[in-house]
Amino acid sequence: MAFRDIRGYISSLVDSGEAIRIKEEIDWDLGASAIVRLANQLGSPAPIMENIKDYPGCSLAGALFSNYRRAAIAIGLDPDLHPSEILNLYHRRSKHPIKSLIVDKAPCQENVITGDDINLLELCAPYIHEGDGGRYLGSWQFIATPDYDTDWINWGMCHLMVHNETTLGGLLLPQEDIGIMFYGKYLPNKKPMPWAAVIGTEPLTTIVSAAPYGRGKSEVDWAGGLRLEPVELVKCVSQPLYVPANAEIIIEGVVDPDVLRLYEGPVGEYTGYRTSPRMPRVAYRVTAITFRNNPINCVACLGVPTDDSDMMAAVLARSDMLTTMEINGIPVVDISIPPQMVSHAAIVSVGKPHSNVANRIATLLFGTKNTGMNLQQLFVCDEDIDVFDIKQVLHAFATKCHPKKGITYYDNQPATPLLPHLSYEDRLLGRTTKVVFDCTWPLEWSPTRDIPVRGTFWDMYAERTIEKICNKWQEWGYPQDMKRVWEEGKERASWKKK
Amino acid sequence: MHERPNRRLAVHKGFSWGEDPYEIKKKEGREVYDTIILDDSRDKLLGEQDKEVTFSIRLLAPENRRMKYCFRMVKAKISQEPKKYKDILLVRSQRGLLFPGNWSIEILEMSKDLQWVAHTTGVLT
Repeated sequence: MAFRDIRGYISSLVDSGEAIRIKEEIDWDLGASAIVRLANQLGSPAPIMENIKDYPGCSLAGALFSNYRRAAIAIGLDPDLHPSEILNLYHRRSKHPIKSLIVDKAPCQENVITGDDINLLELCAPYIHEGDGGRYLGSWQFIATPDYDTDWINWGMCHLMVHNETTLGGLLLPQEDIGIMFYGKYLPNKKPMPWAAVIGTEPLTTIVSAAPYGRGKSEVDWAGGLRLEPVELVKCVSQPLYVPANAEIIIEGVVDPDVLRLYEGPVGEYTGYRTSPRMPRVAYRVTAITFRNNPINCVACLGVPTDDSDMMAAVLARSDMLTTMEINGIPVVDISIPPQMVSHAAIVSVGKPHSNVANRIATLLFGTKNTGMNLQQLFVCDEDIDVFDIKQVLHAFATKCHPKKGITYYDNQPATPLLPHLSYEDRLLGRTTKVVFDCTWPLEWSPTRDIPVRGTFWDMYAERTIEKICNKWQEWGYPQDMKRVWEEGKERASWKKK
Repeated sequence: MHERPNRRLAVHKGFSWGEDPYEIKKKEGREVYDTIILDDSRDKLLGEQDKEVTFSIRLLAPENRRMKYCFRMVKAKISQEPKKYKDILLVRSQRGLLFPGNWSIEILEMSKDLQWVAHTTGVLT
């Protein structure tokens, strides 16, 4: 069953040991985010901080989606499932959108502030990292924007920095959907672009905003499909937009076309660095604030892996890339976007229908709009590699990837400006080089003369030997239940042709 | 990953995040602000010393803590000499690191306006 709101999800995380409630007073000024950061680095439960200095009644919660267990809970699955099973279910559900439902009354409008009463400083915006350009009210949220000349409403995830009492600012990239809407339509027509920032929904409704669902397609329907229930929407109080009724905080406003930009940033980013410099960026003028009683602001304290953004990429980018390969008939066995590689690397295991399949995959994946922008390094492995076992991948890379013939570079590729390895000039121009590492045995190699048998316990011994040893393993005092492991995996490891 | 502290990059030694601005204010009895410079060095700022300059600062130790990190436009005089002017100005690089040494600032005018710049297209920022 879908979570109605972030509160239900948090309760479930607490019940399963994936979150803890902190009652002691915590400072919004670096204190809360530092707790989130350390929890991320230690792989600890998500901190739900319910007593925030200067903001009685408000809570800050972070690391809500920062491992596969939390992703499984968000989707309504057993958190002990293998990542591949969690991600495959997500991928299947993403193909069946469910239309949203409009409601008249909504918890997110329990408190409504408009006009001269608007003051963003009344909301608990954490100061996230030392040296950030400002307080970030939105770090794990999304912005809804209506298209200029169609009825499409886009959801996009982006940071929102507090400039002063009434103005927010943030990075609005021209190649993203919201950027295409603003720079391509609203700005040339000199019309204000309405927006609504949505903070604190159950996790699936928020994460879909970061995915490349496709132009003209509304993320809200996708979120419904993932939840197996429609998302309830309510009309905004000051803008022609509908927003999730059970969100914690809604900030409404416009981006004025005739208003100039404001210096925004820097802020710690998903790459694990404070990559983006302080630059002139879009100013979001606020026209209304609505929020639930005792609102919870969700904090993504981005930094080194693994945090919410890394996991989000592991789920969303995988599904997007899988779709691209399915459409193009690539016999993909599995794909992983290792959270440790911050969406910049993908590992694909594949059957080989023809030679040079690694470069065919590379040309497909490097060209996709969102995931392709981030993807820098592609590892293509044979079907015998578990792409979720990074040690296996490293071994395959070190032994099967020819240092010259196995590596292909793609120059002058589009890039996100947040890539830390880019020079200042390349960052501004969004220009990078991408690379594919072919870690597969060449198709033309003989299976008896050229392709060696791998030296693992599972490959180098007959099934009868494996079974005998696995059955006895725990009797000899070892802790692992190898009998179960073999039972579950023996079909996969079979020598028989299908 | 990163469960314990690593060595720090040698090139970052000498920078810091500074002291708690409220502690500085309490100790010195002076207001504390910072400014984030966009150039790679402080040369431009050094050239602005003792002139009336208009630029953007952040409130670092306001009475109302909720106002901390709010931006304000000021007309002010600044100096690298830490005690020359009434209040304290910290200088931060565009990547957030604090340059060593406090500056001083005399604010002549302060407004809630922001530092607006023209729209540009063609670059990703």
